[in-house]
Formats: sequence, structure tokens, C-alpha cells
Amino acid sequence: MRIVVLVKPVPDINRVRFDAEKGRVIREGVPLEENPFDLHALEFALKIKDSIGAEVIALGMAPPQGERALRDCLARGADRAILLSDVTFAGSDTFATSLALSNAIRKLENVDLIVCGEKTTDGDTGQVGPEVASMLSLPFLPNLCELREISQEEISGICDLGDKYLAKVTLPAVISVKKELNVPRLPTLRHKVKSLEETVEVWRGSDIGGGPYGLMGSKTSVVKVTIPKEEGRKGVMLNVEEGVRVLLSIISSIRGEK
Amino acid sequence: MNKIVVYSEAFSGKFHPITYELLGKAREISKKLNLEVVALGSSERLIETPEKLIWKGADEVYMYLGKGLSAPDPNLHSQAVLDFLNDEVSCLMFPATPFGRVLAPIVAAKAGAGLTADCTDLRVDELGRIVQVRPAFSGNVLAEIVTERPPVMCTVRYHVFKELPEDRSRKGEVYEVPFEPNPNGVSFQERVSEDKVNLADAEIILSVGRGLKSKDDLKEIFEIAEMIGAKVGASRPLVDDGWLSKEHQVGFSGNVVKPKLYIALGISGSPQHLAGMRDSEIIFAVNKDPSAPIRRHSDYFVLGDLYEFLRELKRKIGKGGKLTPPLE
Repeated sequence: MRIVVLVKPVPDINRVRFDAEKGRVIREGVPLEENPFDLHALEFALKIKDSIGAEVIALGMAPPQGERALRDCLARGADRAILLSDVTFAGSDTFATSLALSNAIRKLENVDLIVCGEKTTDGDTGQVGPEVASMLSLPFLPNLCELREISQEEISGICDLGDKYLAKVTLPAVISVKKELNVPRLPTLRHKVKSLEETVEVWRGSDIGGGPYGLMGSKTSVVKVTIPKEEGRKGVMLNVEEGVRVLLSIISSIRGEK
Repeated sequence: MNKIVVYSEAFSGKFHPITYELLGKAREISKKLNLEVVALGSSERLIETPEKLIWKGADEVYMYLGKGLSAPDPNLHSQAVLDFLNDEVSCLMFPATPFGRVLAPIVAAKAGAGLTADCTDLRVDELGRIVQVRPAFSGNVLAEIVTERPPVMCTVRYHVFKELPEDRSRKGEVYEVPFEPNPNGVSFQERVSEDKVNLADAEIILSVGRGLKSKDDLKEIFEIAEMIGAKVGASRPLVDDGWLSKEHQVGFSGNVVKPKLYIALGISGSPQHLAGMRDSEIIFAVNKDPSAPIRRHSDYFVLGDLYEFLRELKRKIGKGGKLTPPLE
């Protein structure tokens, strides 16, 4: 089985700073790492590899410094890592990104399963997985949170769509996974040493063909970014007795509204 | 006449309440851009009074009815939406429910349309464009996004727009469209029943964090929550440690909530937690650390021991666990 894991190199959200005056996200000096949600997708693929055998390919799109995140996938046990990186990809929205990723998957050929995380910590859209499925005309199984059965042809498990549903999908397919599905493994020393000798393949726009990508291929554009200032809640300080009194009067007024 | 379409989630057998919020917003946009408001739903059979969609702001209702549409299989429902889609659709709004968030991208990619996720505001600018406002970077940034060519597609968050009062004098056609979706590789078999903790709809949430000393103390938290009519939420560390299930988690990686009252007990207020509750109407925090970040985000901040606070709260509520006015 050939599995592609979609991995987005993202800035560590705890280290990104926000300039409210200039409306700017300060990413400089913040290294890119795997989107935490995608580590669960990688773990899912590696589990399949452990149980029934598979080739696991990590695929991401980012500027050149995204290489580090994809190398880390090798250190965790992926067999190949591919970074789509080119100026023609710059400024892609989710549509253009999904188009590039799906064309890269087409180029890989014979892909049985594509796995992605639920969303990313920077864009937070959760759109790329289903868009890739749609572009490749593959079925999409959303939000897998518990695995039941797996074979070369079929995967079944519980999908979390607010309510939980038992569902199954015939391969080839695209599956998004929730964090609860598993606990991602850490890089092993053996794989880490091996990953240092391996190369992260870099594919350019001309390698995958198609397009347009980047700003040209995007359907949406960001016209303005604002950084909300702290709304400055009152933060009225109370002692325990006052606090209980205030709390009960708020609760009473909420109940009285009905 | 061009249309603004509200996808009305209905697989469960009733319309998701967010539908009415979206209709309210669509009505407002339609006045500025001279559009017709259409409610589009897909389900296995016709449900409740679809006229309610008219009373709540739609000019027309299209219900796609077909086998298999009682399950939230986005692959099937997307076929119905794509069947409906035509050049007259200027804007298509989806609910940013777990289902809507996967249905919309499948539709948008097939239609070659742009899609903006999780909008918290929509407005018409001076050029007559629909500007979509959405948070990014875990809520630290607000991006304003325009779509280059129609249709403008977006998912919109629950509880951000106000629904219109029901106007039973409004008239409009309800069309039933028999539809047979093509089977695909996915099959939804059954709903796995479990006690659902629906934090998104709770008016009052009582959340606990690391200030709680022992898992056994949760029993008391649930008791008090029941007395005051609250659902129990939790910060991530408690869920990670297995004290509470994931359904209780409030935060960027858990539930994003907006109750009338959010009570944070022993929660310091990490960015990831704040991203899940900062839009609550009233935030009430109890913490023994005066420098806890939650203080700047709360309307009321009790500086003190949460156990002492709980004791006092229980004492005040009274012997029978009764509140005035009494709980129903």
C-alpha cells in the first residue's frame, strides 16, 4: 500500500508574535515545524505500515525552510519526504494549495490512501484535505477518531462529526484524522541517524505540471489583516463572598430571561 | 435575479439552528446587493416545517430528498449542492459545523470556487464585494478576504449572527427535488450513541483547569454544575491526563464556545484555552494567582482559593441545592 501523508510546515504558534499597530504577523526567526495535527496523520500511516505494510510518503508545500519539518517525518519513520517549494507556489490559497498537492499525488501514481490532519494551527481552515479528495475524485472520510478495521481494500472506524458515526471507506480514498485517534511517536535515534543521510526531495512547479498555482491560481485574496487588540475586559477584582454573590445574580438573570 | 444561497444542514432530521442565523445575514446582504435568498437543504425525507425557512428570511426553499442523505456523508450531500449550483448563485454560505466544514470544501473544489472558512463576519464593501472576515493563527489575527469571481463560498461560525424574528406573513415556494446521489467509496453505518456533552449550545459553562487538585474533586464540580444549570468544560491538561473526555475540552484544539456565562475555575488562561472561550458574553474567573493571564480576559476575577469559593457557593445556593428563581 502506498500512503501519502499531507504535512504542512507551520510556524510554532507559541513563538509567532503579532504587531497590533501595523497589523502584521511576525514570523521572522520562527522555525517551521510540522503542523501538530498532521503528526496524528503521520502516526496513523505509520501504524498501517507496522500492521499490514506500506510505503509512507510525507508531502508538504512550503518555502525552502519547510525542509526541516519534512526531514523530521523521515526521522519518525516515513520512507520518503517531498517538499513542494517554488516561487510559483507562493501566495496560494487553499484551492491553489490543494491543486498543487493533488497534482503531486497524481505524479506519484498508485497512491492508495491519503491522510491529513483535521486542520492547521496557522490557517485553521481544515479545507485542504477535502479539497484534495474532491480534485482527485476520491471519497473523503472525515474526522476519523477511532480505528476499527483495516485491510488493503478498506478502512473502518468512528468519525466525529459532532455526533459519532461508524463508517467505512473503500480505498483509494482520503481520510482526515482527529487528534484523539492516536499519540504520535517520537523520532527514534535509528531513524534520526538514517534521516540525516536521506534527502527531502524538492519538487518545483515544473515537476508537477498543471496549475496555475500561487497568487495566480488562488480564488480568494486577503485584502486586510487586523490584529484584534485585547478587548480589555473589566477584570473587576472580587473576594470570595462578593464573587459568589455576583455569580449567583448573573446566573439568576440568565435563567430569568427564559 | 441572482441568488444568495444558505445551505441548510438537515441530515439529522431537523434544520440545524445555525440555518436561521445564516438566513438573517443573507437577508441583510441581499438588500444591499439586490439578491434573492434561497435556502438549500438535503435530507432523506422532508422534515419539520420547511416554511419556517421562509418565515426566517428565505424567498425560496429547495429541498433535495434522496436515499442516504440521512447520514452526514459529505460525498453524497455535495452532489446535491453541485446539482443545484448554477451561474445565478452569487454567494453560497455553509454552516461551519463539523459537517459543513467538510461539505463546503468538497463542493468548492469541484466547482472551482474559492472558499473562506469559519467566517465571523460578512459585509458588503463600497465596491459591492462581499468581504469575509475570519480569524486565523488560533484567533490571534483577523483576515478580511474577498473572492475573485462568484460564487463567493464560505463557512460561517455558529452563534455569530442574529436570526430574524419569525415572520409568518412572508410567502415563498418550497420545492422538493427528488435526488439520487451516486454511491461512492464511503458508507456511514450507524450513529454510535453516547452521552454527548454539547458545549456549543450551553448557556453556562463551568470549566476547570489545573487548579483542581484531584480527579475525585470532579464529582463536586458536576454536582455544582447541575445546581446552576451549567455544562462542565475543562482546559487541555485535564483532558490530556484523562480526567475528562475530549468532549469537555474548551480551547483551540477542543471546543470553541460562546456561552452567556463562562466560569473558569483554576484556569490560568493559556493562549490555546483563550482561543476557545474569549468570545463568551460574561467571563468569570476564580484563581489564586493575581498574575494569571485569564484575569485580563475576565469581567470578574475572584482572587482566591477555588475550593473555598466552591464551599461558599454551595452554602449560598442552599440546603436543597435550590437557586432563586428555582431551576426547572
